[in-house]
Amino acid sequence: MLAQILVSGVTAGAVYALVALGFVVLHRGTRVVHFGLGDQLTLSAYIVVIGQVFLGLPFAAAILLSLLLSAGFGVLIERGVMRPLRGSPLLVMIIATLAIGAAVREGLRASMGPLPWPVPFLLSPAPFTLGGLVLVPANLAVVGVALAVMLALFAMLRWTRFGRAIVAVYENPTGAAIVGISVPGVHARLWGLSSVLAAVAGILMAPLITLSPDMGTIGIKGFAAAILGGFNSLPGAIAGGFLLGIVETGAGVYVSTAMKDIVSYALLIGCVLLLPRGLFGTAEARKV
Amino acid sequence: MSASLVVEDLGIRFGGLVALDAVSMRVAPGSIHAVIGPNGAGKTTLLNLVTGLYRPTTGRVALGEETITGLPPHRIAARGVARTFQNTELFAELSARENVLVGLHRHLRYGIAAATLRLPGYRRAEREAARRAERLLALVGLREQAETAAGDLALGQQRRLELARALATRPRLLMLDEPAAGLRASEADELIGVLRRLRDELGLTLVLIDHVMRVVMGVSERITVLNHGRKLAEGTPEEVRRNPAVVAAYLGGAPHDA
Repeated sequence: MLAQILVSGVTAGAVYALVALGFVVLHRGTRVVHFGLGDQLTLSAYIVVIGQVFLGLPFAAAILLSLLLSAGFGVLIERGVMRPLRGSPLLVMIIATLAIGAAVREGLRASMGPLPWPVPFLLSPAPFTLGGLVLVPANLAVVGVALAVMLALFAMLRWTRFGRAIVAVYENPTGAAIVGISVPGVHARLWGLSSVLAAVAGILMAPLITLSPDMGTIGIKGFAAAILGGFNSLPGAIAGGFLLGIVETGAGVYVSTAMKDIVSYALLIGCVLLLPRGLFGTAEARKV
Repeated sequence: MSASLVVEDLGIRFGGLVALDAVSMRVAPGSIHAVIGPNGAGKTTLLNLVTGLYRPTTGRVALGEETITGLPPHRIAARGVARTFQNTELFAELSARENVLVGLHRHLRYGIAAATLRLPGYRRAEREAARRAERLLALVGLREQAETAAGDLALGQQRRLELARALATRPRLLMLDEPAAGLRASEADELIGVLRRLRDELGLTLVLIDHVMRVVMGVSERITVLNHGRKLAEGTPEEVRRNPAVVAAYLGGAPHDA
């Protein structure tokens, strides 16, 4: 039973981990918590549907279109909203992200209707049994894609010029600027990157739950996972995501399915109260 | 390779506080120019204005023929201005080698596709960067510490690492904020040798802030003295040493010699 919970929890966990990464990747560089990330995730899934149903694109092309537009939308938020707000209090920027989220959500409700749309699975949703465990190909595909995206992210940060500039800004924006790295340019990249991570999560998640304008509420799960991981650690965000997915599934099995959502909020509150640095966060010494 | 630095009527105010008030100075290409003054005189503010970390309220900064006033710091860096900081601004969790590699950032040119596919262009650029990083670490005597996180280095080593990172950007003008602070006399003499080599072998123009008179008097061709955000005096070390206003304001009776 425990093994089954682990297997099932990992699917949701992989998606939470991607969303959590989206929060942390952006926050570490810009200090902004993007509360519209969940709604961007919904938008990306809708773009896949629009590409397929209305433009007649093949599934793969629709996904590519969605990822490109998501990255572009992220960069647009930085250029169009965050850059003009530079110098205003952080709270103003965070409230702006709430407004962006609401605009996306209500725009989708107005244009696409409140009813759910079907989104194709990556692999068959028909379960099979292996060694006493019930496995679902579609869920395995979610985990596989999510892990591949995470690996690609870490490789990019470690081995490319693009990624090294991001890490430099994470570590010390002044030091980065003084050696010729454009900090606003890196911020734009981070908005794009965070949006793409959310888009992947949205496209993976949409077939498993129903695609409606309110799907973005799973952004809160990603937020809770990021808090669990300390909110400034990339590996922490991933661990937080998987942990949340597994604990949630366990609560659903042992207590009741109604408990599932309560668990993430309870973990979120408990973590903020008892472990303000999360499980993996490091103390932040900020220079004054 | 080297460039002159011209500062004209440069000033900045923070609210009611005038941190720097109409300061002008001219640094000849390939020379070593010191800026001295008591604490709070505006020396670091001057460096922050030249490197673009602050935007001036008044005045002009020019590198060679080109005006760079008010440009963002990364654009000023791209024109060949590098600096170190009094309390170092390193990437603490990255290794010494990685810190220098970030300094080489501007000189690494390859697309993200080339990096993803590990094309020959990418590998050649990365190999060349690794070699340059190796040489720069050896130059500042940190070859043994290449894999140590910058934050774990001793303070003196951090200063030298920051110098290596600054040199990695291939500057024409290098500005150093208190490189001699806390050095022993023998180390200060070593620093004088290093500064002369940077000027003579790399052809750099050097601007140096320091309190350690042994270094300032020993190495600079000209000295600008700031006091309360204003320029108090300027001249050769001999002229500055004899200037009564400087003696009264700064050298006083107790020189800050190491």
